[in-house]
Amino acid sequence: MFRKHHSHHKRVSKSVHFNIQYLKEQLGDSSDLSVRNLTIAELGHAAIIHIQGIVDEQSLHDNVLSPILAFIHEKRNVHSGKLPEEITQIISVPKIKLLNDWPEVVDNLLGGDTVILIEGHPEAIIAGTKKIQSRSITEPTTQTVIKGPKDGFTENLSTNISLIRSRIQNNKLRIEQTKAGTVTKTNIGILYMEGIADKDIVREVKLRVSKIDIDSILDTNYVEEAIKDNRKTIFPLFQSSERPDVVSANLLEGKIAIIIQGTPFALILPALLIQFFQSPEDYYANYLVSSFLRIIRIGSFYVNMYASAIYLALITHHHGLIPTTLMVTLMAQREQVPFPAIVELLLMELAFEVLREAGIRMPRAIGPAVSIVGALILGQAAVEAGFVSAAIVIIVATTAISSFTLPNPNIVNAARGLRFIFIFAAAFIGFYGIILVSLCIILHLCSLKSVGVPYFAPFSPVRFSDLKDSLIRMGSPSLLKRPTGTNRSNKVN
Amino acid sequence: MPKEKIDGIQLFCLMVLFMFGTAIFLDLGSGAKQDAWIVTILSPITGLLLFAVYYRLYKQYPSLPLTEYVKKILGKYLGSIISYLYIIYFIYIASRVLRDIEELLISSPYAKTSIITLGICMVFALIYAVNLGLEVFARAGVICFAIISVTLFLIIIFYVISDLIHAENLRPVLANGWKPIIKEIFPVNMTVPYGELVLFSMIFPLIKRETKIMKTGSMAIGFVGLYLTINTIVLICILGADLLDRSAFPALAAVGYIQIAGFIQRLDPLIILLIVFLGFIKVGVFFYSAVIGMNNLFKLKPNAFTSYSVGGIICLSSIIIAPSYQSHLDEGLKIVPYTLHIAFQLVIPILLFIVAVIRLKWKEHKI
Repeated sequence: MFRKHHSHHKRVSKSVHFNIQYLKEQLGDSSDLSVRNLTIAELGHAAIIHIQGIVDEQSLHDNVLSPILAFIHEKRNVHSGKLPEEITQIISVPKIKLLNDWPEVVDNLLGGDTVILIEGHPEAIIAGTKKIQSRSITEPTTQTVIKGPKDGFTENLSTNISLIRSRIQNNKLRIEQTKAGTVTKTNIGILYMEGIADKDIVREVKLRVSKIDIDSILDTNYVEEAIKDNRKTIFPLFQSSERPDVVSANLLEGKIAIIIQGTPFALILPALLIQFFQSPEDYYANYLVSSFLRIIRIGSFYVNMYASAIYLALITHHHGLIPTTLMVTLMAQREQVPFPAIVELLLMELAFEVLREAGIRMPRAIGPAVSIVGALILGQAAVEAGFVSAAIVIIVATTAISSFTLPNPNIVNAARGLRFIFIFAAAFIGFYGIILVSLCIILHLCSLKSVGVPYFAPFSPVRFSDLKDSLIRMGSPSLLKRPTGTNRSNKVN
Repeated sequence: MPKEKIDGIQLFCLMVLFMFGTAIFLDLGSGAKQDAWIVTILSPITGLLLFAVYYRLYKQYPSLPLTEYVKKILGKYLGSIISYLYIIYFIYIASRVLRDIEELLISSPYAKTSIITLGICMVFALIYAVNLGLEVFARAGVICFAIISVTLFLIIIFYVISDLIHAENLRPVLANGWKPIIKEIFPVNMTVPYGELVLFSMIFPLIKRETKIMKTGSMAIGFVGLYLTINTIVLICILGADLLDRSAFPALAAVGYIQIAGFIQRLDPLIILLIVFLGFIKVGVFFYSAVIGMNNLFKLKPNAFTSYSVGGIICLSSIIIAPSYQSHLDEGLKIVPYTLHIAFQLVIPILLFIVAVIRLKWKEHKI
């Protein structure tokens, strides 16, 4: 397998020619491998090797090539045995090292560093000239706020770390980099605040990250799936965010962030269920307004899960509970509809899910076409043709709108999935089924853990001091204590 | 990572929900007519005494459930027989409670549904719960407690707003003297719900060491006594003593009277919610105790097979135990309390306690 590659260490040879041949062989004579041959006076051959596109050309020219050429030009009389050390003295890039292990040299070359080889010396000089192309910092597309910071993460790990560093200028901010993914060798940064984050949780997270054994890591979800506690759950066990302010706030609460090269989404862990209902804007606006909006959001979550199931239960099992006049209206609508209520509801729910998926995947230019087809044909025409009753369209539309209030897409997906379970339970046995399924979901939530922290806290197990920032958000003076769920070592500060 | 044990709040909520069980739907102490509330206010005291006995027994063997320390006290063979009987008792009571729930649901919102369908749905949910373990169950209990408190509070508010409370129904107080009250307390109101706390002897070992079990337990018993008293007073005020005695489920009858502004009329979903939540917790705790008892007695590792089979037995026996609802009620009021409850809740624990104390003294004497 892949790991055996490391077991037989090949060393850098003394011959530059041989070394270049070996490198070309390793990279399959890749077209973006650039080799520049030099002759250093009477001391022999040298070669400067880099891969085009991932090095900083400016820095390569100014800090590596120019000094070496000047050195050759001076033709100083140096002792040939000390030549690599001499070269490291004159190259003016911040990161420089000597390596003689081929796999490491190749890794550095592929990471964007420049390799300098000198005839007669079994060592390679590695000059840090890495520069990865990335887009500039833009406003995040998810978790948008009206008022508050507008910068978002990019695909570049070091940019992202700098965004957090600029917010938390404290020597206790710890950043530990590792690599994971046996093929992609992706850089992963683990961030936490020393002294605030729980030591056991930090140790557990590092352990789990070090145990990741998959080929590739292209997004945070690869890491999430590899390290999460319980794989058999529909609920998101870790939070992901592309907002540096959210990550910083969570770090200061004692949480741990995992940032991955190549994706603007950072992973925040451990996460509690209630976090998925909290928008960063809750903390940037008046606390009374924020509390109200938070309750609205949680309410919409329930509407999203329950509305269609409750309608179905009423219309199929509990006629007696509907006021008579409303019942007459509903029944008049349903009279022309050829399908049973469950079929009607499932058709509309699935049609909406299809529209939603189409809305995300389609090219931007044909957006209006989809909305016309969706709104007019599926909505109005279906009712007029008597395929579905108007009440169903209203219910499905309410469900749909309510799902857009939630700040985190992962929790919306959980609600979408659960909605169908509720619909089947309601169709089968009415309110009794809905309540039994709810009980099972409560039990499931109580059994979940995120890196060992109970997922359903602060409700169960109850943590009274944390309840102040759960369903509602109290004003700042009462939020002086840090949350206890993730942090046991440094409670008040 | 180790399982998180049950803490004080969770124990309190679990005990309260367990005792509420089906008790809040039944006509507690209705034999004492308008003095029923005196029955409900006095019976917690007897409940407390019983709980103290169970607690003392647990103190002697703090890491063992009831079915295990029986063997320590009475020897391997006699002890195994007693613990086997306890397991059967738990399963039997679980199916009785399940039958209560099924009958409650059949009586109003599910008149046309078959009784076994309701039972099967409940048992499937219960098997899921039991497989997750009692620690998870207790944590969920806190959430259920919050939901149920809000619901019960709402219902009492609705009674008041609908102007249903007629305080004159409570008079005359003690018209027939103390005799009917004593008759009601002993044994029916002592055993249900308080005597059933014998089941917590199975659960005590799962509780965190530092929890003050006696204090939490007494608070839970007091809280339940208080709520049941308020509930009974409200029901007497609404229905009057006669109707209270005659109706099978007085709480359902009373809720039927609620009418506010022509808008809030049918509170059936709330009632179903109460029935399902409370019944779920009560059957669940019995179910779980039977499962751990069985695993211990037959030296099985925790497995899903036991819970599936016990669940199947509970579901089936809930239907087999009585041919009709009336005979189910008769058994519950006239036979079960006098034979099963007194034996398993009172006589056996007290005997065990006496034997355990004598053994302890004997050991000390020897040394």
